[in-house]
Amino acid sequence: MYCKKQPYGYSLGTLAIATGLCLAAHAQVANGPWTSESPGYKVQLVGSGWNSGNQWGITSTSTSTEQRAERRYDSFSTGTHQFEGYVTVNSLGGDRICLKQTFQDGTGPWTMIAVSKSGYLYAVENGDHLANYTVGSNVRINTICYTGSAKDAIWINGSLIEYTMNGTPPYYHKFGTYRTGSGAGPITATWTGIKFWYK
Amino acid sequence: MKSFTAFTLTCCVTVLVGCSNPAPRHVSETETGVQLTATMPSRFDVALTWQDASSACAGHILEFATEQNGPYTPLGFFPRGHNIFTHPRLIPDTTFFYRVRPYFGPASDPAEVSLPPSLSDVDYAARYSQPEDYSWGAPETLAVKSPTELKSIRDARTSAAAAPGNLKAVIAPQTVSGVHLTWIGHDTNAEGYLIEMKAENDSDYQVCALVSPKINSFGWSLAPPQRKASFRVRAYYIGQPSNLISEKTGPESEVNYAIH
Repeated sequence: MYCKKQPYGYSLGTLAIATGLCLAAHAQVANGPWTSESPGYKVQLVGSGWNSGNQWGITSTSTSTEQRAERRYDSFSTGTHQFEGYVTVNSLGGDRICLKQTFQDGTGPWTMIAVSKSGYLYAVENGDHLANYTVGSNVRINTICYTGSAKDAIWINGSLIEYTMNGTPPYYHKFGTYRTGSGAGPITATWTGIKFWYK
Repeated sequence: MKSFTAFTLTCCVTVLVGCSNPAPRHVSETETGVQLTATMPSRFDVALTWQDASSACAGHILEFATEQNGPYTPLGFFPRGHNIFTHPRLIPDTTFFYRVRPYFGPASDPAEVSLPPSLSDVDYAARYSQPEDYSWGAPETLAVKSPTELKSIRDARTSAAAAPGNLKAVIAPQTVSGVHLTWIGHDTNAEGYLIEMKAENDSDYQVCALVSPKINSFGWSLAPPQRKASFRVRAYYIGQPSNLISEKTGPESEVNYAIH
């Protein structure tokens, strides 16, 4: 719990005092108790997809071939699993590139959060406008997959936006850059602060 | 200004007192010209207002984090004169930290663009939904034929002359609504450029993208029903942050926000 008056910009020593006494990390969304987890993953590079450290991208302008650079995490079928990450679209010379997915393993796409050439985030499956986005700035994305109720919550910048419903397990998280069926590269995006929790 | 020792002691006392309060809300002091305040119209919404005594800034960046040390994420880039924002449907049982940072710098003259009247709304929407070659839209640095004299945007005497020049906005021929922006940088020390757009019915310019220094070519796509817009490019730098403010949301058991 944060419980201290702290003018921004004062010394680290003062900050350390405050932190040591009563500041606890609380990055994940929704009530826990959450337990941090580190699922295994594989990097998927298809077509012109590339990955270098935190940077992910597609160089091809193809509108018909598979183009992806994503990190695919291990599947899960039980419990509630939360993803958190910060993404900056550094360069967008394309359109309709998916940045984060909660995928139904063996069934198909489910939650897909993509960026448009007109600078907004949208849900690919239903077309919903999720949030305005300023290209070149970072945005925080949390998703929570509730396997018990087969729904996936989308949080953008700390605000609950919507749920994706009626999922079929098992599920897995993916992030990176992926050309959607009506999209095209190129794109370069930076993902940082990737965390997972479960309960 | 308080001495460090005095300030530290004050903070320690505040920490101990604050910890006994189950739902504290604090606003820190600031030495900058920007003052941020907050209220909670519900236990899951935070309404923010800021005041800036400086007349020099071009706008403000409102940022949030859920840990005091960040990372801070922008909630919006607001032109000068716009000073309110409501952060809605927030994470329960969480402390949100907010700050505002002013941005400064000169903007180019505006460049206007509009779609041809012969393009029907139906055709516009249909073509917009289809893939199109947008690869020209990635930020690039184009060679400038004749070198230009560069000036500082941080010096009031030279800032105006350091504004980006020769801004051109044209509809890229291979697209239905892709706007190709090109300009010439005249600055020595911008942190980058803000791409600002004012659509036909907007009251002011909105920042739609940030690009790195030295970039002078960028693409942006109008989205239906937008048919006409004005663009500016601003060479910018970011100033000192406002006071840091925090608000704690209510428990998950009391959440009642609607999902659209």
